[in-house]
Amino acid sequence: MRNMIDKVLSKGERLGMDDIEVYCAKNLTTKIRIGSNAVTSAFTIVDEGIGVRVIKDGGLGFAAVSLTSEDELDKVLDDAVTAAKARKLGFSYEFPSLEKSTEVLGTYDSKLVSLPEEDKVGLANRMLESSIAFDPRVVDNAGDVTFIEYETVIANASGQQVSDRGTKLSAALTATAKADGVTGEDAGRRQCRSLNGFNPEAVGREAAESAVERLKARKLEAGTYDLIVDPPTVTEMFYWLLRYANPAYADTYYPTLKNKVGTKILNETVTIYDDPTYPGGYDSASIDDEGVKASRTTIFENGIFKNMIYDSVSAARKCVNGTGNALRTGLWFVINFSLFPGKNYNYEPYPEFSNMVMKLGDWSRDEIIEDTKKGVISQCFHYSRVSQHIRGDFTSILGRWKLYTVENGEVTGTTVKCRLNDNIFRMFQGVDAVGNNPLVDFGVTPTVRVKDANITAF
Amino acid sequence: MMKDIMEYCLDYAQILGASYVDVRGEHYYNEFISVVNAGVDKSFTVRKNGVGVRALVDGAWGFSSLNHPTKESVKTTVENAVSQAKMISRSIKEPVTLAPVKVYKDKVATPRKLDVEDVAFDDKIKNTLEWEQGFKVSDEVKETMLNYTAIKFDRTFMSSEGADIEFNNSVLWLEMKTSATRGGKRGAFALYHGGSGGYDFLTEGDPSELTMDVGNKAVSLIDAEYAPSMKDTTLVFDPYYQAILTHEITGHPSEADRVLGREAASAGSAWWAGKIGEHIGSEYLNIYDDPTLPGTCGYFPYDDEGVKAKTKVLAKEGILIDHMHSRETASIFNVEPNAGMRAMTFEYVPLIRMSNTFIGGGDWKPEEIIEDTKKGVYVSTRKDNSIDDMRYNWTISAQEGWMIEDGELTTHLKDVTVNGIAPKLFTSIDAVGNDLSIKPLIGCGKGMQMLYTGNGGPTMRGVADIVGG
Repeated sequence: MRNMIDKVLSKGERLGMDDIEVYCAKNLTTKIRIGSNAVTSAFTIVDEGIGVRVIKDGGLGFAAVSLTSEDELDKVLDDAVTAAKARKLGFSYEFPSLEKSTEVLGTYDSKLVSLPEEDKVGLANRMLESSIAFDPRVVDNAGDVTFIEYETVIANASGQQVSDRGTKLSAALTATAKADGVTGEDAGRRQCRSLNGFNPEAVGREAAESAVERLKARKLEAGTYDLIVDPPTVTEMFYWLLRYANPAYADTYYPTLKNKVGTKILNETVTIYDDPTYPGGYDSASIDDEGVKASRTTIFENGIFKNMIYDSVSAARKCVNGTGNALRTGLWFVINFSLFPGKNYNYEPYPEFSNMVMKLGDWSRDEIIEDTKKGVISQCFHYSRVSQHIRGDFTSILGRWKLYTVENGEVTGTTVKCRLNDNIFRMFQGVDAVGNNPLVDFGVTPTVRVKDANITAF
Repeated sequence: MMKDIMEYCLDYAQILGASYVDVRGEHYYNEFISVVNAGVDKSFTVRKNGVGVRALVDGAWGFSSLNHPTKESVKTTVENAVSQAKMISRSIKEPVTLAPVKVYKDKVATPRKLDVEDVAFDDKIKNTLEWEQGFKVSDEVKETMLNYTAIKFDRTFMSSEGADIEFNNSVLWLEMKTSATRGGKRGAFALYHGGSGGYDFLTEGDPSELTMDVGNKAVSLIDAEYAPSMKDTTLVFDPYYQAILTHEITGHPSEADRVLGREAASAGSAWWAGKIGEHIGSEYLNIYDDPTLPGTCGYFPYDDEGVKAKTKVLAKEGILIDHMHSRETASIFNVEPNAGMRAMTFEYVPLIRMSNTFIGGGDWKPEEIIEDTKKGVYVSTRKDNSIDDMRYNWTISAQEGWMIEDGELTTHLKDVTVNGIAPKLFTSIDAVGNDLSIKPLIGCGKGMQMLYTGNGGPTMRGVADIVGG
């Protein structure tokens, strides 16, 4: 990898670039799949390559190539230069300075890296067996466990170089229970950065236990309910809200919060940070994908909109300071994007959130439930969308997994799937209770309660 | 050189104990140009080459892929695939069996007059800038975005059964988005145009006319009204809306791995599992998946298991007939494989995916369907969609629509959000147009892989709800 960097930098220098940046990523991804009650297959992707950005005569160009030959290195530079000629920025821009930073605690697990393939299969099997053993009514299981190792290096023509590395593990298991002609399906899930964070038996048991509970699921009447959202599902709400705080979206089709910094938008209970320095955070990293040292940015504070996020280009365009939020994955339904869970060398950086972190409140989860007269507890939003971007109309399937009814302060049972039809801004304005129970998973969030959510039955 | 490496993979995997092995070698090229508000916002190229090795050992699958392989480096890739399969085989309950298929040796290149790589990148940037000018039909057009994407690949499939199939193709599309404002009011419109072929796919038409249409649409939507909530409403869907509707509620639940519940933890399952031979809709409902249609985004001559492409009849006159299959699921269902396996690139394991999925045409003229509708809503072009994991309950918003009153289009609507139940819609279909067309659908995600498909249908009438703002 480092050899490739040196070659590209020296070729770039010979070609007379004003500046050049090389981003190298190396990924090893292993997925173990479960289906029809058995571990069915495994696959491994080894992916390594470079993305090159050049600045030449006020133009910025980018090209990428997988681990490659000398000829293709020439080609990638030619392509980047051609792209730079076409894209004159029209504003002053230089690549961010690369400053060494310390690895974020809990983002790299050497035990996961050295875990033999056989043990990876073994973990998937343990998760599955735990579900099967839980109850004879559990008749089927499907899911997967994904192991990711990555290393990134960023270097520039000034001789600066920074690097990062990380590990990730994600697991999901859906169990199907059957009894008396009724079928119940539910899941256990976990996303973490180390083997210590993953208890396969617990995920399997969670899937099976919930599936058996779902055998007694009742239909929910359409109406208005207080919606108690447990972590990590709260992050799904953030994901859609925070598009409005991302210039890549706000400048095009989510403009509602443009020029609204300093305005109260959400309930005062809501404070949200973007924090890539959070120990063990699923998207924590010591640097962003342009090599900028990670730091925390406050997005909303007591309901007041405080900051947009920026990568270096979007910040330069707006003449503001960057926030270290460059990510190389494309932009969902704006620019062709990647579902690859590792690090992508084949995309230019775009502004994007890292860990979405919510400031804790002082309610315990039990207190929130006890204080709720008519509500539902959701631990899964499925296929959420903002269906009207300006207003923020929001829809999501509740109850693909884990949906419970609350009546007069007590959890009274599970319920079948239904649809949330509400508005993302109204929902955050309606957050009247924030829990003190953070979960580090996708984002770092506690339980929250949204007053008077509009739910329609299937 | 690539073929030598692939042959080595086949031989070595069998020496290591694979009863079946296939290898996909690929040279992959992707280019992208984004013009925003008359300036180039992004432009890049990506080049990859490599192999993906899939091995069946003792009834279990292993798969491993590698960039830029050499005979030395690919050795480990083969060993990984085989050793993974061996590990899995110790815990499987039912060994994988593959439905037999005819083995082919073939070379297919999508016809093209102008190869994507034979046009200078500079020229493509100039063209994209020029086409983007079309949006500016008035000063009310404020934000414009034209994204050009081309993917070109040279893919070879070889198997231990003797298959040797080369497929050279390129898929191109334009993504057109714009918004217009007047006073405090706003209209926005977006459209895709794309298919397979050479760069001439774009230049033989005039994309400036398309961007002009999109600009005009955005302006016209400034004054459009938001739809009110309407329960159990008669809706007439246009072919652009049909593209996303058929994709989501007929295509995905037809994937046999979903039907078997194997995707339950990720992509989801299918509400019509176990209903082959049963009525799922009215006699007007015919569903197909057809990779043999040249020029479409879902075109291929052989799937990524080397199975020759064919038209799949998934539902006929309202009766569920078949699903999309891999050789493995075809064996489970005891049917013939029907070329349902696709992978995004060599790096990924093939999965059961759509090619061109659509609802079949009928004999109504589109205008006859509107004239025959006393009260309802005409729903046009997709916006956003939210579908439940069994593809039973769906919400798909449209960019525009019109009220239908006494057989005429009246009030112009924007952001029409439709919520429906799949079997309820299917059984309510009572008119199907003769204007079937296949549209590009970009960004279908499954198992870490984003793919492009063709989807569509004719103008069609059925019943669902409108969710007002």
